[in-house]
Parts: sequence; C-alpha cells; structure tokens
Amino acid sequence: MRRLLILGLILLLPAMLPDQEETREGIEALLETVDLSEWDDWFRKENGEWTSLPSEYVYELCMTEHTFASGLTLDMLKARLLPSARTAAVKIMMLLGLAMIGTLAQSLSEAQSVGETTRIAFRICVSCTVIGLVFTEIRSALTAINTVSQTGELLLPPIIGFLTIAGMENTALLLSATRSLIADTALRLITACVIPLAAAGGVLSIVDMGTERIAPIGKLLHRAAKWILGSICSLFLIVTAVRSVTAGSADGLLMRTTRFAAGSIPSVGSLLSESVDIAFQCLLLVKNALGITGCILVVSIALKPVISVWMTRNALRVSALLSESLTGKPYAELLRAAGDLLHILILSELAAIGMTLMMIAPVFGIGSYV
Amino acid sequence: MLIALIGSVTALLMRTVRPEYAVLIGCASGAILLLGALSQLTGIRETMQRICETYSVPIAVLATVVKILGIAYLTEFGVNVARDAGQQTIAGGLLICGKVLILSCTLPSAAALLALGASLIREASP
Repeated sequence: MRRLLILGLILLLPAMLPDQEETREGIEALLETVDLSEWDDWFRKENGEWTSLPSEYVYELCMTEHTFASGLTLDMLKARLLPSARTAAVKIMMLLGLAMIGTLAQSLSEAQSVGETTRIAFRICVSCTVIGLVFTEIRSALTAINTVSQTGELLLPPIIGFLTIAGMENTALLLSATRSLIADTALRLITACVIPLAAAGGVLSIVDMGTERIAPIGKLLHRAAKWILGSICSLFLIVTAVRSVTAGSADGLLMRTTRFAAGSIPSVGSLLSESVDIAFQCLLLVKNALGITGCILVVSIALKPVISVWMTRNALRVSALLSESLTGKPYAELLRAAGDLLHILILSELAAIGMTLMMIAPVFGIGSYV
Repeated sequence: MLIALIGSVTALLMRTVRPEYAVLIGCASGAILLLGALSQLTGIRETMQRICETYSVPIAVLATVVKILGIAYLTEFGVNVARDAGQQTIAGGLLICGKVLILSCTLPSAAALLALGASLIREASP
C-alpha cells in the first residue's frame, strides 16, 4: 500500500510541477521513505571528524549539489597517515634499539660456559617483544574486521527497505543473501581460520630466527592462510557476480516492462511513459546515492586500522633492512617474518572491506539493465 | 691484570706448599677481578638504559637482559672456582643451576605471551 502511494505520488508530480522541481520533489518523497538515522549515529560514533553526515551526503548526491572537497579529503588523509607514520617511526627506533641491546648483551656473554643458554634467553626476550608488537596488530585487525562486519550489517536495512519499496525485490533479496554469506561464512572463516593460521605461522617463523628449523612449517602455514583467503575471495566474487547479474537483469526487466506498459496505454500513454521515466530516474538517483554513501562509509571507517597495520609492516621491513648489518641475519629474519604476518593481516582486512563493498555493488548494477 | 698475575703466581707457589691456600687465593683473586669488572658493568648498564630511553625499548626487556647477564657472570665465576678446587660435580651442578635460572628469567615474558595468544584465539574463535 505504502509502495503504491509513493509510486502514485511520483507519477502525479510531473503533471503538477515544472521539470527541475518535479525531480527534486520526487527525490525528497523517496528520501522520506528511507530512515538513515542509524547510519548517522554509527558514523558519529566511529568517525566523528567528518563534516557532513551520511543522510546529508545522500541528499547532496541526489540533488547533485555535492562538490568534491579535495583539500578536505587530503587533510583527513593526512590526519590519518601522520599519526600512523609517527608511530611507525617510533617502532623502527624501538626495534633498532632492541637489536642493539640484544647484540651488546650477546657479545658480553659469548665466551662463557653458559653462552648458548644466554643466547637462547636473549632470543626469547627479543622474540617475545616482537611477537607482543605483532599481537597488538592482530587484535587491532580482528577488531577492524568486526567493525567492517557491523558496518555492513548496519548499512543494509535502509538500502533493502528502499529497494523493496521501489520494487527491486530481487536485488533486495540478493543483498540479504550476500550479507548472510559474508557474516556467516566469509568473515568467520577469515577471523577463525586465516588469521590464526597466519599468526601461528608468523610466531613459528619469528621464534626460528633464521635457523631454518621450524621456519618451513611457519611458511607452510602462511601459504595455507593465503590460499584459504584467496579461495574465500574467489568463491565470494563468483557467487556474488553471478547472483548480481541475475538479480539486476530481473529488476531491470521489470522496470523496462513497466515503462513499456505505461507507454502502450492509448491517449495518455506518452504522458504516463514520461512520468514513469522521471520516477525511475529519481529511483536510480536515490539508489545510487545510497550505494555510494554506503561504500564511502565502509572505506572511511575501515581505512584507519588498515593504514596502521600497513605502517607497522613497513616499519618492520625497514627495521629488518637497517638492522641486518648490525645484528646479522637472525634478527633481520625475525623482523621479516613479523612483516610477512602483518602482510597477511592487511590482505585479510582488505578482503573484508572488498567483500562488504561487493555486497553493496549490486545496488549500482540495476540501472544498467533498464 | 696485575691482580690476576699476582694471584696466579701466588697460587702456583702455594700449590706445592699448602694446596688448600692456593684454592683460596684463586677464589679471592677471582672475586677481586669480578668486583672490578662490576664497576665497569654499571657503565654498560647505563649505556643500555640510555639506548632504551632513546629508542623507546620496553624497560622490562633491559631488566631481563641485565639479570641474565648477572646470572651468567656469577655462574661462570662459581663454575671456575669449583673446577679449580677440583669439584667437578659441584661445577656441573652449578652450571645446570645457572642455565635453569637464566631460562627462568625469560619465562614470565614467554608466559605473558602465551596468555596473550590464548586470549587472541578465544577472541577469534566463532
């Protein structure tokens, strides 16, 4: 009933209003059906410094009033990058200091009868410090993936509600199915299988410290984690692509049929066809604005932890390069192993973000089939 | 160096006359040398502390490293004294004791790490 009323309102509008005004009114009528207060609340909680709220952003996009503020975006990126870069610099210094302390202590106890034991003890100390650093990043990555999952869950209800009202039920059903596929299978596999495997592999490689005794097992676990992650992403991509093409075609066909049916009514056909055209344009505008805003919301919330892990990975790799001449191969290998572990963490986070974006992507696809 | 030389010569001379004094002289020389080295070790410790402050290395790591070094030096000294006294069994026992002490110093950090790993696995599990 509500759907009929809205469609009726949109259809009647062109008869009463001039061109530009009728589109505006149509969009406003459609936006009234979408409740974005939860998006605003979530955005305020997770990302306070953004100037406009998601609901305002959707409106601006629909009305084509939005101007891309490149300066503001650069400032925001700078605000995210600079603290992470500073932290990474501190981490590089810390790792180099640790290398110095380790080398100094080892050289002081080298020729003793307990030298081998002391060497092992120093190795444990250094490994524990580096693993502690890496575990902080693992925890941050798990939290980030969880946040992405929650964001995805929050994004869908308004979009699904709007698509259902607008008659794009196939796409709405697809979004629900994709959401459960992500939350129940993909993200769960990443957090419960890929990251623990990568962490176990990383710890084994770190503890090995270049002796190549247990490092092969660590590398095997890393490879397994990468394969599982790749398989999850590929399967998800294939399933979503096939489903979105089908759902998009079905909804596009429905919209085309409606337009054709309206145009074929004798006498008033051309007028109705024009009204239906405007209504569909408004629907597409609102739908795309919701999709774009959803994507921006996911990226803006998930970007910070990814940058943080990326910076730490770079810090570890730079420290490995710098400390190799000072401490020799073992310590550098330890840092490289920790860097490799963080690389898989970054891939996992990017996979989670990518899948959430892929979940929203079918929203853009419907228009191309009309 | 001079103390070591005097101690060695005296112990060598005493070994033929009173072997029990030779051992005591050896112990005393070793203790004096170790005490002399300890004053220098303080300088090394301060340098390490400065490195820790400059490079933001956790102070717990330095504490463990210094503790391990101290145990290593004392064990080495004790083992050498016991060997000089002809007490190979005591020297062996002391060596094992020192090794156990050194490894026990690293246990708290390893245990903390294991606890962190366990909590992480609990968080990650569905």
